[in-house]
Amino acid sequence: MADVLLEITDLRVRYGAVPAVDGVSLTVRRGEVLGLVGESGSGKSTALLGALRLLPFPGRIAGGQVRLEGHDLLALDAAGMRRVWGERVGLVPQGALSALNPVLTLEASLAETFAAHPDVPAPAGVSLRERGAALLRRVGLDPANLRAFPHQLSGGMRQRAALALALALDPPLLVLDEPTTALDVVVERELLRRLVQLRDEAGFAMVFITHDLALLREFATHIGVFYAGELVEVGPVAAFADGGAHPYTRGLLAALPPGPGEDRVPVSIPGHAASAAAPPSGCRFHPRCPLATARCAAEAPIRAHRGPDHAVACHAVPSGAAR
Amino acid sequence: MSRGLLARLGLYAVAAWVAITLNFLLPRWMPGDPASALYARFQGRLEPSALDALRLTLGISDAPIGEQYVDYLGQLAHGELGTSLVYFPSPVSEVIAGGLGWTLFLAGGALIVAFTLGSTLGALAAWRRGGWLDSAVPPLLSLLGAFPYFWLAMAASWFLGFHLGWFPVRHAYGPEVQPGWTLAFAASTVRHAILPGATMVAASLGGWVLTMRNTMMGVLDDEPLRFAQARGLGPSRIFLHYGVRNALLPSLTSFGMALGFVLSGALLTEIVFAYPGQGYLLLQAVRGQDYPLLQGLFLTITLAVLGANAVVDVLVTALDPRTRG
Repeated sequence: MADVLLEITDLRVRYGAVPAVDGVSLTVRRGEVLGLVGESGSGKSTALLGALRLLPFPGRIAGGQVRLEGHDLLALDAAGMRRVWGERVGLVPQGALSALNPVLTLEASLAETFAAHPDVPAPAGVSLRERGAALLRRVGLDPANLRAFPHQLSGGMRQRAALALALALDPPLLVLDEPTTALDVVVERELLRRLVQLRDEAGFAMVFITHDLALLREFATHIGVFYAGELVEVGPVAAFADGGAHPYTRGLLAALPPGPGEDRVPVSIPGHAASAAAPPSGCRFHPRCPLATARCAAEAPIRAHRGPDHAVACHAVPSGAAR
Repeated sequence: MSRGLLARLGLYAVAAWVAITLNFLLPRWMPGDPASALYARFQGRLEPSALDALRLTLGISDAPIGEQYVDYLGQLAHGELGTSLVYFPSPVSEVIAGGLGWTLFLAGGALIVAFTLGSTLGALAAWRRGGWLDSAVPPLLSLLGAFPYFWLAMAASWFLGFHLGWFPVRHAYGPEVQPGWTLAFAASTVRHAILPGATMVAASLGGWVLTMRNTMMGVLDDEPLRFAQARGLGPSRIFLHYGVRNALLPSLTSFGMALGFVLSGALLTEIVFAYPGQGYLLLQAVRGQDYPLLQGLFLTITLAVLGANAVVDVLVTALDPRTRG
């Protein structure tokens, strides 16, 4: 399909000898907002960082395919990859609050980013300072902050500065790795509003990695749910309106505090999150699953389509006819 | 200059005053005095009346301590540190000035070489984590540094100096040259400094490599680096501006401390290679109970440590915007 931006197929990632992501496939189309949820260690960040070849040591890709705008990312040489980073995909890393170089002003950080991509021409007649000021205004920062060092900015401002840097070269895809985890609710809402506005203006697609499923339901167009290194359910946000299909997704939603007007008691999922390093037999969720049968312990479920774009990996969920 | 920095430098001034005052008080609190020590060395070959003359010469008075303190500060301001006993009748300031130059040349040079080389190797080892440099160099240098220094120095002196005859093994320059601004003299000093300098570098290099490698490793795992990579910055830019630039700050502080202690001389080096530096003087002063020289040396060392730290503080403030407040 022409509007497919990022296509990850059967991606496997290991940290040294330890598996962290096991056969993840997902697709992001232009303009989409794909939200990825899952517990810590479920592999949601690792899958995306792996696909973008930004894994920290000793992470490495053990198999699979990644195509960004049709190009095979895993086959690209170092120079080619450096052009992709920043130009074709922007990343706001986890811990973006401490992601800025402490000894550089925002202007210097922006300048080095532009300088790293000489093939992207600067708008004619626009000085570096004006270009930086425009970027800061786009993310809602006062251009006076160009001269500031990171430690002189508040957490929310640093988050926006990181966003400005990630968007500096107008990439068609923006990956945000837990961008709101360290922020308070008010700052989080402001950031989300700004992101929606920016997406409407610039039209980039987003992959939004978070712990917050409730937040994704109002903000994302698609949601993917990770468990123990696997993507157990992925689909359009509408498929999650009634609680999703996979028992794990349903469990996650049942564990959320009730919203206003909702009359229910939050129920936690029993047991502890399984690890991708030493997963249970069969379906990785079966020791904690209320619907588990003998088959679940023996045989890993294959992800099956249940509706258009909606895929679930569960023996208990009947697959739909649609593809 | 920021207020914080001024306050810091003010603190150094206070510390220097405390050191100077202690240097004045300590020998006066101690039993005995240099004149009696010198008198005793001549073992009755001096008339008792000579003791008074000696006391006068050495400036030992029975004046009230406040008056003595003012005199002491006044003399210090003119660089007068008294008369050495071991090198009698040379003034202490002259004796120290002689040793200072050699120590600065040998130990200072060795420190700069060890710091530069060690930090570079450490940074490269961390950058190519698990590569051959990273696997081979730190353990090898740690092994070298684990030998007792005097053994390392003597082994080098015997093998490279005596057995192979590549380098002179003693003194700061050869008997065939006259001290002066001549090329022959400079060449001789360099030739004489290579062996002791190299042993000092060999013994301390491992520490600098490990320090830099470990800080750099932390910095390379940090978010700013990943973010820089994700923005497509080139490897040389990342290595220098994200890796080395941020990893160097802690090493720089250690360098400042080490720089201060350079002036205390490399005692063992100077003994093994009979090098006329500060450490050699210190040994002579202790052996000969040369109080004025000891006092002068202590004062020089203390002030050098304080001065070096002050310089590093200014430098760190210039390099790290976070310390500027």
